[in-house]
Amino acid sequence: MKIWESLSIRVKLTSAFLLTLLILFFINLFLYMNVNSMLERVNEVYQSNSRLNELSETLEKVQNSMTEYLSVKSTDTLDAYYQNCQELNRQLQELNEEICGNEILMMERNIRRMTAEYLEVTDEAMQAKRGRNIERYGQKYEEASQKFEYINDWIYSLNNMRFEINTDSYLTLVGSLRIFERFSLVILVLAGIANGFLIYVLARNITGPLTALAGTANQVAGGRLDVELLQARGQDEVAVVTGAFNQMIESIRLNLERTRENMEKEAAMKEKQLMMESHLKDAQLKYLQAQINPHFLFNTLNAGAQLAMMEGAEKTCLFVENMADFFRYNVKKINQEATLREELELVDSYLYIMNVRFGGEIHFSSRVDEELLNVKVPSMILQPIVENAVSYGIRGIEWEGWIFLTAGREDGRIRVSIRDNGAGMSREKIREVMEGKVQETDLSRNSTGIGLGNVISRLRLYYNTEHVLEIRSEGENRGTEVILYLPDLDTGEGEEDV
Amino acid sequence: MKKRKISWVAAAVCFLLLLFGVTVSMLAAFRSSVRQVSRQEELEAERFGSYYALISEDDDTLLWNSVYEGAKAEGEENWDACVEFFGGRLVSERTTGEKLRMAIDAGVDGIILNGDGSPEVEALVKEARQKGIPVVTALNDGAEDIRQCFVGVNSYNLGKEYAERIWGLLQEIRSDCQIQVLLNSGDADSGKNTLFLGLRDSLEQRISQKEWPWQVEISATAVDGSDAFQTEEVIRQLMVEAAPRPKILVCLSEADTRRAYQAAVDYNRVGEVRILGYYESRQVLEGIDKEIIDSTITVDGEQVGSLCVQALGEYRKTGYVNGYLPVDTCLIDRGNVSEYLERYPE
Repeated sequence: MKIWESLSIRVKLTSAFLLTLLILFFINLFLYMNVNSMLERVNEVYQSNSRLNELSETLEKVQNSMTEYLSVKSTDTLDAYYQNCQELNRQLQELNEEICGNEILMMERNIRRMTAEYLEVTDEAMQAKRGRNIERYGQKYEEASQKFEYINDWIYSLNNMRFEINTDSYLTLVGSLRIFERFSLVILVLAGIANGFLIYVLARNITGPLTALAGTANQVAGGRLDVELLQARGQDEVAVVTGAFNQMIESIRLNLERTRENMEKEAAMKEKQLMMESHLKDAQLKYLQAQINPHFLFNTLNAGAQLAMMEGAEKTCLFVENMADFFRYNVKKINQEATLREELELVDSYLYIMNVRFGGEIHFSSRVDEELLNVKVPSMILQPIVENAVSYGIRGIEWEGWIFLTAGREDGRIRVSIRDNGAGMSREKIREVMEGKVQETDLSRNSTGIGLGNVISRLRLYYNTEHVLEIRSEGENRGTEVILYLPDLDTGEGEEDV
Repeated sequence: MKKRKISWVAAAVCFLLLLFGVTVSMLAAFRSSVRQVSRQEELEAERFGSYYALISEDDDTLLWNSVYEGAKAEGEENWDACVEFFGGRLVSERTTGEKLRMAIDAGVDGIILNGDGSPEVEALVKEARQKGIPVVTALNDGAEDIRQCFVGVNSYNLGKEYAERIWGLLQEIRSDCQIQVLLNSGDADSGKNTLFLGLRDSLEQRISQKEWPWQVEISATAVDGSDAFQTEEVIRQLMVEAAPRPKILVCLSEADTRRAYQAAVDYNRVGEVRILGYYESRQVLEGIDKEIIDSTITVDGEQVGSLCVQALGEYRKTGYVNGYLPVDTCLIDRGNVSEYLERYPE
């Protein structure tokens, strides 16, 4: 069994077919040999009759050649006589000599003895003929003829008996052949069944593990990875495939386990990353808020000093007050969030300062929904926009410069619009600004240091949404409008985006 | 799975065993059938040291068959000898002389002969003796001077036994009586004649002694034993045409006894003709049982055969044997016929 299991499928299949083939071959050989033996027996059935006929013929030849010699006395007939005698003697040797209880064998013995006696008499007759003893050879001839007749009678009788027995034998053989025919049929049918059965058992033995493997593979294909692993028996290909399959299942299970662990790790890492991003945003915010140009403070203070020198102390005082407010705001709110009201106040202070600086050229109008004044926003977001409107919008225009600031609710968000009637912006410029491609290195001495890009970045980080700012301009010299869309955190709007 | 596998294997083994069993049994049947055909029987035949030929023209009668059985049994059991009805299986009918000739040519070791006293047989017995083949005559003697031994009934005494029985019948008949004795004319031997002589002497002696008042006439009719038709005709003649018709008919062979029995029935002579038979057969015994045959005198054929073989064996062994070995005779009549009938199942 162990040897069988260690064989390959090819060897197993070959063995199975060879085995069944050999069984059929040997059975056929067996049947063939028996048929052959039976045919030989059939051939032998009448052989004894044929032998007796030959004996009778030879005896007759001896008698004839003796008669011929006695009447002709030629050398040829003498030779013929001796040849026939020799042949007769040879044939007599085949007859039974022993005394036994079998009638037929005893008849053979009697024929043998009587023929020997007959030959003695014929010899005597021949001798007498040669010695020209007419009386004697005549007498011996008579004697021999009588014996010849007796022997023929015996041979004929024995032949008859043999024929009867042989006919019985023949009939028995025919009967045996019929039995054998049925026997062969039964054997062949049984061998056929046995072979079929053997092939079935062997095929089952060979394909059984394959079927089990197919069943398990189907289960695995259906998603059941918890199937019981098959035991690989032997060393054939199926066993190899089963082993490989088992290994594959093990690998899949291991990989799945690893993937699950990886996913868990990844999730943890993602959480960590998110936290880091949050910290980064905070840092960035703080960094950006720190990018305020300190030169501005000094320039403004210089302007205040010049005014005080030219016009007396009242206006200077107001100016310095505004200055102080502005400065305080910057220092105080640089790291915090502020209310919209505070941002508006800062814009007012800035514009006051700017109007002082540039001689009241900037006209400013604001219309803000009262409810929105306490809304929390990142600090320093309106002033840089207003500063942009002053610096790139209305400075240097030929007509009277206006800046309009409106704030109200729209679609659940807070809409803050800062519009000027200044130089306007081309579409390309707007796109560049929105995409952050404009380098804000050209900080003038009149700037707070916080550019529009900085504001956009801070708003995006703060609200965690991209759409926070929109720049509209109908073209050159047709003014620019910068609109902030701030999610209303107090009402919970926009929290989804955070 | 394991159990299932084992059951499959068991089924396969059972099937193979079944196949093997069928093959072996069929093969055995086939072989035994073929063995009948083979000459095995001839090859396995028992071997013997000597070969005796039993020669009788009446080799198909029950008496001689009985003699043959006795001789065969004695030869096989005590003398390592094979006894055969010589020429018994020959297709053509051969005379005693011809068979004797063949037996001498075949070089048998001894001859048991139903002697007929013919000169031809006597010459052949002489030749046999010259060739060292002992000859024993059985039941019927012949060549008295040459043969080694005669085994049989003393014919004269047998005649006397018949005379005893006839005397008994005469006591019943008590009137003039014609007695017919059927003799086979072909028999050159003097056995039957001696028997007739013994019968007549003994009966006449009785009649004269007792001064029997009725006339008793004894006569012998010779029939050719070799011609069965003639014997039957002679018996018919005696039963129907003879005047005066015999009241007692003595048959000296089993076949003649049967013929007489049949004729008595056919010609309605039952009770009218008293038949005395010789030897026994179922038919003869039935005749006695039905009172158609009065009685029969029988000899033990097997004893005859046995004694013949003993005589041959003794002679071959010692070169000497008794010239005459007597055989017992027995009268079967109504009184004891049932005992004998049991030996012959229907």
